[in-house]
This record gives sequence, structure tokens and C-alpha cells, in this order.
Amino acid sequence: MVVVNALGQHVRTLVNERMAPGAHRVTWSALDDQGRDVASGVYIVSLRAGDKVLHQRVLLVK
Amino acid sequence: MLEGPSLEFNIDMVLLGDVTTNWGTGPAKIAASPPRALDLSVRETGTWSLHMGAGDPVFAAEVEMRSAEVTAVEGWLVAWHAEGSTLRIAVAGFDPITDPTDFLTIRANTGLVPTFERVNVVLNEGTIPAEVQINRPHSLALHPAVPNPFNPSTQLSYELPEETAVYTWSS
Repeated sequence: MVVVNALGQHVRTLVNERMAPGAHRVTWSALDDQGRDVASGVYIVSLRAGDKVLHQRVLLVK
Repeated sequence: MLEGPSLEFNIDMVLLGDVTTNWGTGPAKIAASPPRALDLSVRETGTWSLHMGAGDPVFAAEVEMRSAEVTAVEGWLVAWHAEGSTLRIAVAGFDPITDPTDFLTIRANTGLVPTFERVNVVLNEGTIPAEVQINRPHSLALHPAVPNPFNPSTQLSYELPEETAVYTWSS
């Protein structure tokens, strides 16, 4: 599960492990993988599990 | 306490461990006797059922969830109070429980993930073990971020129907 920016560039890895069935939550604190604040704008959160991919769009407003 | 053919009282609010407003002036005593295992399971529709053995006269529970509506079978009194994510329940009665499987129904009225919220249950202040069963989601889901737009952080919830590797593009 990753965050990419509007250009499709990788920003942040949120989840990268085997997860148990059920409901899970993850928080993104507007940081990239290096811990730096990211700029305002649209980002895409992509959940990739098995052979499926789901997306959600988020908007960071500073 | 809780003896006699009938009860007449009004229930305003029940706080776990404190039922003095409902049952008189004595100290709170809401442990079922003898304690036995209760099973709070979740149905796919977001309806919750509490399974309990017949003969337990009173119990109380505290459930972490959004909000809910609680009903019990006829002949039993149920009081509940939702505050934040905590639902407090107290139930009392004398009629035998003929169908333990549908004794108590909690209809969850939730927001983000209505069906598969994880819950923490404390029954009779922990003196009765409770087992929570969570049905597996039917399909993979990624819910909209909350809040959105956001600053400084946002939360995403997702559901996995089976144990799954959640991985990144490059892996």
C-alpha cells in the first residue's frame, strides 16, 4: 500500500507485509519515505493485495 | 437483589459497574452467577448478537464501537448508552431464555466501516470472558480517506477477505 503523487511518483510506503483478514487502518502523516513533509496537492493511495489494486485520492492542503 | 416475580423501574442510563439507580441503593452487583462464557458475534449485516446461556439473570457489557441500537427478547429489560465509541449495555430479566442465540441484538449504526469494526468487550467488568468473532469481509475494499482534504494527517481503512500480502509497486 503506497502513496504516489499526481505524477505517479512513489512518495511513501504505508503497508508492505502480510496482513490478517479483516479491517485495518493506516495513517498517512503527509511524510515521504525519508520523513520529509510533502507539498500540498493531490496524492493517490493505492492498495495492492493479491492481484487486485484499489485507489483512493487524497488532497493535502497546507 | 433481583429476586421476586417482577421488576418495576425506569431506566435512564446504565454505567458499567454502577446500577444503583436502577436496582436500588445497594452497591453494584451485576455479575451473572455462575459466570459463564458469553459469545458476542458479528453478523454480516452489521447486526450483532450476544449468545448467552439460559439462567444468567443480569449482565452488563461495554463494547467499543460507533453507535448502536440495542434490543433484547421480550421479558427482559435492556438499557444501553452510547458515548463516543463505547456502548454500555445492561440487561436484566427473570424469564428463561428460550433462544439464547437471539437473546440480544445490537444494530450498529456506523460510519466508515460499518460491518467489520473491531470491538473490545468487557462483560461484568471483565469477570466473564467474552469472545468476539469478526466475520471476514466479502471482498477487498479501500475506503475513502478521512479526513479528506487533510492536514496534517489522514486515515485510510481497508478490508481484506483473507490473509493477504499488502505490498508496494516495486516488490
